[in-house]
Amino acid sequence: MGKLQLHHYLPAKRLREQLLSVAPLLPVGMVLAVRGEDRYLGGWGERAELLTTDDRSTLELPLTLEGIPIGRLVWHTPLEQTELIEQWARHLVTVCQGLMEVEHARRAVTSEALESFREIALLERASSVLNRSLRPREVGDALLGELTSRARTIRWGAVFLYNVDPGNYSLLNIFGEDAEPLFLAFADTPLFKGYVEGQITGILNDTRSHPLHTGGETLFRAILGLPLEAHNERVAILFLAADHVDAFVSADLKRTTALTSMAATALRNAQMFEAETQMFRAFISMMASAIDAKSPYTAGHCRRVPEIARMLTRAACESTDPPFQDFSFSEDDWETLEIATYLHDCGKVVTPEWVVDKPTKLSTNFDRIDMVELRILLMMAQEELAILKGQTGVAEVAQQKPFMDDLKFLKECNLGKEFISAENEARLRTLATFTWRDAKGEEQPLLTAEELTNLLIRRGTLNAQERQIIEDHVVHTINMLNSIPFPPRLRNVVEYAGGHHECMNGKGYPNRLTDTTLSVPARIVAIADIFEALTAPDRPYRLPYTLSKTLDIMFRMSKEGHIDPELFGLFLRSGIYQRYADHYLKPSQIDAVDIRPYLLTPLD
Amino acid sequence: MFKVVIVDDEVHIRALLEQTMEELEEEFEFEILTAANGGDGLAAIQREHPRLVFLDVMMPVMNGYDVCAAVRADSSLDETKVVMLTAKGQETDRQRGMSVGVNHFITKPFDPDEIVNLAREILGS
Ligand SMILES: [Fe+2]
Ligand SMILES: [Fe+2]
Repeated sequence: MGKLQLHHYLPAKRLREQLLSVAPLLPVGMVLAVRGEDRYLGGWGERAELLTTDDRSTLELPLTLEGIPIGRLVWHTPLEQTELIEQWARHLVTVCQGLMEVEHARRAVTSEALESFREIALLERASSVLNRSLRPREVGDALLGELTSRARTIRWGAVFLYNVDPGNYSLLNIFGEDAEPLFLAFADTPLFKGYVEGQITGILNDTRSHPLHTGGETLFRAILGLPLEAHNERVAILFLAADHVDAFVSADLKRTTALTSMAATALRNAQMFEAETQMFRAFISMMASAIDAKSPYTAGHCRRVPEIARMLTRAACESTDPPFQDFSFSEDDWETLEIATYLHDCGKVVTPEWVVDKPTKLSTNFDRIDMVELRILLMMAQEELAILKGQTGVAEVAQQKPFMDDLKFLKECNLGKEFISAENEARLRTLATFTWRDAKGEEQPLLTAEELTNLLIRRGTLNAQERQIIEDHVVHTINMLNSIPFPPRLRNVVEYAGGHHECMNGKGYPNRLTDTTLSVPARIVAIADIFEALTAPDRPYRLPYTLSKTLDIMFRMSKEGHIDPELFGLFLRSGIYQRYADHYLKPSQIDAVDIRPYLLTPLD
Repeated sequence: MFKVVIVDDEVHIRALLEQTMEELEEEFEFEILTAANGGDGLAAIQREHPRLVFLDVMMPVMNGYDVCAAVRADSSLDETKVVMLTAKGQETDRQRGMSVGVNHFITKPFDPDEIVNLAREILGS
């Protein structure tokens, strides 16, 4: 409660009524005034507002409230101070005192009601603010914010989190100038220990006079400290500090206690939520490692794609260019993206390894080219035997060179590095008609129908069926992720992850989404996936691409409507490819790149 | 000098608002007038041309919406900001209040600090 001021207790209207009812009866020339400490409240007579006691012929009587003088009645009369006038003045003072007492009582009740209004509002706001977030840091910030925003005496504040395992405290939130070093230093003092161990509780209004104070210099001259406990378990400890003694009053303690008990529960909930989240993240990370470990050639893919996607998303958030000026990412969106990128290939756990990185056309669990080689060697041996038995003319002896040539050709085709020309196709078909004799003496084809189909694969090493198996990994990803009950804030995980093989032009898989149905994050994941795959240093069937070659391929993909050209432009302009390359690629891959020809709008 | 008119049929709300507004005495010079029903309130507003009006919803003689509508129909009262005091959880009050030109809403029991901040903003503008 502030200073008692007369004008609050003697309403001007009431005073006027009183004066009007009696003053006309006063002798002519009489002047009187009622004054508070700093202002004139009302009076009677000529220039009453200027009347002071400096004049020798002026008298005064005090007006008191709770025994404290807070104003006075001053009067001046040209006549002698008759007893009658003095009596009359005393009467007026009595009336005023009565009015003041009534008003005082009324205000006391009102103040009490206002205080409870304030408290209800505070608790209501605090409960919504403190429970708004499930992140410990935000809960702590909300607590400090509520406490410090309305109390001018508080210069510093801090929440120390209690870590059950080592049993120590770590700084979670701070408020005030230089708060971090000040509180870190404070945490080493016996006073801190006193609070933590319960020897000191609540308000310490003069830190230097406390027996635990060891004489070290501290700016904290007054402290209010309260532990945060939920279900009888310590969660954290709160400190508020001021730079002068006697800064805290019991109302501060009351308010702070109400808030800390609420904050303790909110903080504990947040901690529990965080622990669950960490467990979930560890699980995701384990999953990513498992996928990566399936193939030495894609090692690190599931860990690097998130990195690239994160970089590109950040660039999109920061970009003020028209396509991205409205693009923003919330904390939940970031978490969604992280989970989606880590798990985008999780469907690969069900894809057979030998398909994932099928090194040659005839590979299954092993490379069947070895069988073909054996058959050719057998054919050669059988041929030779026939000659020795005289079944064949001597002229045909030692026709081994063609066999060796054929073997070389087959091995070449098996690698899948070159396109199968019409001429080569014909040669393969002819070779397939060659026969050898098995143990029972029956004729067998040099190449089975299935082997021929594989060798005829025009590009790469995968046949149509295997390509389907590979493509199905996204379907598995989507199905697996759909089986996880993600909370609403993470509801987009499936969309971000499941679209990484979709194309802007609708020619992607598995859902043939298009630029109207693909979200920006899904397009980002697609670009990250391609960039990582192209630059991956180890591939069984080819040398790693250089940076310039990679960007060249991606530029073509962007022109053909495979990837989003706007995002690809941003990828180039932001220099992400270079930063990523410097960090992750082999020096031999990093060559000079000129991005200018790739940009939609040239750099100026 | 600014005028502030409080129109509420509950005497304790009038007293609470009056006392809350005292916090601004040092910052602004203003006079508070009170009215216990909508009719008296409208008369006071039309007479005093206040800068700020605290207006209850349910009142005898004339309700808060009608008072506000009358205020808004009077172009000489364009400067008058109307703060309506609504009951908690009565979202429909707000919509109706908005449609008759209420400038701000405060729910009862009000937060004294919120009143002070709002009044400071209005009187200071
Ligand atoms: Fe994939
Ligand atoms: Fe991938």
